[in-house]
Amino acid sequence: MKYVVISLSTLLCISLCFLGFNLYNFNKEYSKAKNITNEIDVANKRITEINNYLDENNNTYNEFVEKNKTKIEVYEKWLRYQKEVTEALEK
Amino acid sequence: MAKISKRSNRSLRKIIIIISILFFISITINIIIYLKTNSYKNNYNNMIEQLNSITSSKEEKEKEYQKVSERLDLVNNIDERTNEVKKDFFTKAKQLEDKIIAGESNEKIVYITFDDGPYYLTYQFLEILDEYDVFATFFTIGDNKDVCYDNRSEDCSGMYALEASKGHTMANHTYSHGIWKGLYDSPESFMYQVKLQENLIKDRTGIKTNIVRFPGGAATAGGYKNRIIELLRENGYGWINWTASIGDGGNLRDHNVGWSNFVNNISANIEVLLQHDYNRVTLRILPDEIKYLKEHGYHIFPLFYESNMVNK
Ligand SMILES: [Zn+2]
Repeated sequence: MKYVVISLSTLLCISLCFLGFNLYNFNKEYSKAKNITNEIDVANKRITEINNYLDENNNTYNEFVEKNKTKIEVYEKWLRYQKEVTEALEK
Repeated sequence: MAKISKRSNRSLRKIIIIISILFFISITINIIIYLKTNSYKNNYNNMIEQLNSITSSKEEKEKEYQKVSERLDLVNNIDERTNEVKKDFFTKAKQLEDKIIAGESNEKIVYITFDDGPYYLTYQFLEILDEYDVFATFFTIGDNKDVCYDNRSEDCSGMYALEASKGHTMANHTYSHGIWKGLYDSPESFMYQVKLQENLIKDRTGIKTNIVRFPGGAATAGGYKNRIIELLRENGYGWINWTASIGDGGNLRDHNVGWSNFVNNISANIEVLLQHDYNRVTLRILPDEIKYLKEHGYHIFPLFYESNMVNK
């Protein structure tokens, strides 16, 4: 009887050790998975944010471009002039 | 003894049962945790893949965001941005002039200027300048500030703003241009007409002019020239004549004459070309002039106060 108790206790101890080991592993995998889930959540949130921003501002931008065509064309023309004079200076 | 042994046997059995139950519980928990851990492990690659795909689509979105926010920043501050580029251009154009004058550069610059406008014909000049991607300088007057002088049924009042909005340099040629009508009666009468024109241009375009061209050229001011130049300086003005002209100020009707005047006049490394935006010959040869100038290595620049060609 005593031997049975001793061997059973040993088995229990071993299984408890395994439990400890398994818990450690579980915790490791769980936090890894949680981190990834968090990262995915953060990325998704940012994508939603950007999409909202694009929705809001694409219209603003298009309206502005429509209304201020000349201003933008003139700005681009100045950029070309700036490039021309910069290159001429470097020659 | 037998009793004691029986009792201890019973309690041992109890212990065995308890330990066995604990053992099975522990095994069960072990198995559950192991399976759960494995499921996480197996799912790991999927999750990484998901994360990677979301990250890459996020990066693309970020790029789009960057682009749109940059464009928005540009359009929201378009005047400021334009002024920054313009300022940088003028600084560099001045440096280029300095180098050319010092003989350190073989580049060439021409300033195309138009006097006495606006006219109804100015629309067509502006179109050509747009088409050939050229900034010019308009020395405007105020005499015909509303009704177009060359087309009485048309309104020219918006022309100053149109010229300015297209980025051309707005310059001052006095309000009345009245060479024979009192403009040069005194330095003060001249300055009065400069101020009148300054106010008109400021009112129509928001721009304060700082370059003057004397109607008829600075020599027309005769003995008052130096005093006028002093007054101009005091009022923040530089002044400029011209180095080349196609003779379109009077009755130039023959474009061949205009063209040969043009070709014969353009030779220096820095030229200030005087023309008039009321002349049809000028309008007709302007595209060829621009092509000629570009082919001959000229940079066609708009005038600016800091230019060496603008006397101060
Ligand atoms: Zn004139």
